[in-house]
Amino acid sequence: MRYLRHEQLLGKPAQKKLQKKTITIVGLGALGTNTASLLARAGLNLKLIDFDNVELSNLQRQSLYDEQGIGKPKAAVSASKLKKINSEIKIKAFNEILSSKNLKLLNSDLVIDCTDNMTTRFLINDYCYNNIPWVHSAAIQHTGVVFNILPKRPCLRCLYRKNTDIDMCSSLGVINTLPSAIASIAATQAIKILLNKSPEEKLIRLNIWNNEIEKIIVRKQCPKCQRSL
Amino acid sequence: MPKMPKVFIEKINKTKHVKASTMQQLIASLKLNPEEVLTIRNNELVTLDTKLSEKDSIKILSVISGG
Repeated sequence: MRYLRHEQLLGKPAQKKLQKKTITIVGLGALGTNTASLLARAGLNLKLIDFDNVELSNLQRQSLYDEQGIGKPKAAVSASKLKKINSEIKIKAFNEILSSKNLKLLNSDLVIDCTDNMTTRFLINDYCYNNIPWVHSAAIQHTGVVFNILPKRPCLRCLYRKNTDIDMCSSLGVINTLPSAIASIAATQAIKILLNKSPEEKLIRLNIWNNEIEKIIVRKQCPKCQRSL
Repeated sequence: MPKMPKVFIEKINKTKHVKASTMQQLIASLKLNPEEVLTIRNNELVTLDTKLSEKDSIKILSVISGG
């Protein structure tokens, strides 16, 4: 009964297939908590990675936390909340910072980047390259992006020129309706990738303030991807 | 002879004509850091050495890294 609405829409075999998959979510801030909530409800097994603790300023948009969680590790608090939402899925929580020393934590059927920095994103890109499908998501102020990075398709280095951090929600702010919208797009893309249902090839960019969504063509243009042409 | 394509610059939310024959010239003319922007021509992400024409629809979008 839990997955009836999905079974009606996607079919029972597809829902069963999702329940056998494990997704790694890197970063449990606004994007990560909203994404994890959707995927746990969809029956996917999760690996959660974040080194940070919950703060009061997170509660405006980070949907798995409440006042009781302040000061506690995000990974553990998220896992505990998600278990209450869906006790049937497997959840592993890692209170760690992702670095070159623990990239094996990414081993799973799919990775979703919900981090807030380019350094971690490029670590994910280079580890997953042509091996593990992953979904890049980011958001700031009222604009967010989602980009699927699949084997044989353009990678993050085709999208960004350098792993320079440009902006931070902590300094520029973010409207609290944006992360849940971007998380919904990213989680939908993750489901489409896992079910092999024509995931989006273009960069998806949403401005929630102006109700504008655009899709931008990205071609293989980094040296590594160009060599594979 | 440099072209004057119409360019939308997201950071300042303005569209203006900029004298430039390539994306590199355009970014330099706007005094933008190329690492901080996505250079879009006719709805496609392009490299800095891309040549521009007056008929092109050009957008300079900000790179987003927050989460």
